[in-house]
Amino acid sequence: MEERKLRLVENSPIVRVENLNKTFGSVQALRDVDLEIPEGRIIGLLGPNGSGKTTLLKILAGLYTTYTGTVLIDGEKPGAKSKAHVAYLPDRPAFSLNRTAEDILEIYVEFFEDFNRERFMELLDKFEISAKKEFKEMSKGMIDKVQISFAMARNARLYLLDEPLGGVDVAARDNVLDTILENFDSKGTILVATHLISEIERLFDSVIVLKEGQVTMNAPCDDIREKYNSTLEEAMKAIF
Amino acid sequence: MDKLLNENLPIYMQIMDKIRAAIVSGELAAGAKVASVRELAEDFGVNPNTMQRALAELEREGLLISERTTGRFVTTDTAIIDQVRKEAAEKIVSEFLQKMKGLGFSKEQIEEFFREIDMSDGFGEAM
Repeated sequence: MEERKLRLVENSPIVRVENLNKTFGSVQALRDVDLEIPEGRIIGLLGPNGSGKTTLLKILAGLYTTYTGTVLIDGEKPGAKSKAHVAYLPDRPAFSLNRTAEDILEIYVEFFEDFNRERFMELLDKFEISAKKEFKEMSKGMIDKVQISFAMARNARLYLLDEPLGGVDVAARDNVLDTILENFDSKGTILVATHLISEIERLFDSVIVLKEGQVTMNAPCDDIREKYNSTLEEAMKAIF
Repeated sequence: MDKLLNENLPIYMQIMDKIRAAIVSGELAAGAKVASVRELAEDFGVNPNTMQRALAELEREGLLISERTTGRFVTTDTAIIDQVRKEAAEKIVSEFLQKMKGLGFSKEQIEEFFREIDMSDGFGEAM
């Protein structure tokens, strides 16, 4: 019942973005982005390649620090303090391929107070991956699963997942998604950038749609389904 | 969970349909305790907030009852369950009639069809 009470109150925003602009040289990657993301939600970040999804995630993760506008995570500017409770899964591996999950595990334990070693090992077990295997011996799908395990083994306030299923084969996708659901709790918030809409839709409360760096839609999935009388994927095709 | 996402209906409504069907068929008996939002969300493979919405709507319909301290239950009011069963049956019949009409059957031909058809079909050997 505790869970139910938590979900019924209007949650305070974990992310607040106001008038965010980001340029790379002459390219405007994000344009006048305004967002509020309440806690306890799983939100899809959708849009074609180059629409600004990864840029937005990297700013929230504290990796891009030059931008104009306001970005607040739990009331703080992204930086050392926010990184302690933000778990970021990059769209490509952030570690050397000569390493093993076991090597990286020690770094995570050292760096992140909220990292749960047991949970990490359980997740690897679930994905049937050995912690002693070097990344260069792994398929892209296996590396993705290791990265997801690192992200979801943290007890973070905000999870930023950039294309978490990118290299995972179709048969294993449901397993990965169920794992994300099982590890989600009402005190966390998950933001998932993806182009695999039909596969991941079941996870989402709502979606934020970016088009050429601007937010063109920010609405609950079921409202979009109702409005377009179609699946989310078909609605997206109608928008783009 | 299968094919939940392939239909055009909002997901919470598809979940409501499945739970309604389970109650009407007796799979979820009158008065039975319903699993937690979290467990159901995992079983259905959906976001807990979507699950919560489906359950809240079923409470509004009177099929589920929430007890503050003990959890959520299927109503013991069988009149409500019978009513929902009747509505579900009416919906199926109305869809059936539309389809039969589409096949060119008249009202009289449909009645005749029912008199001649082997009604044990779909009820298994026991019937």
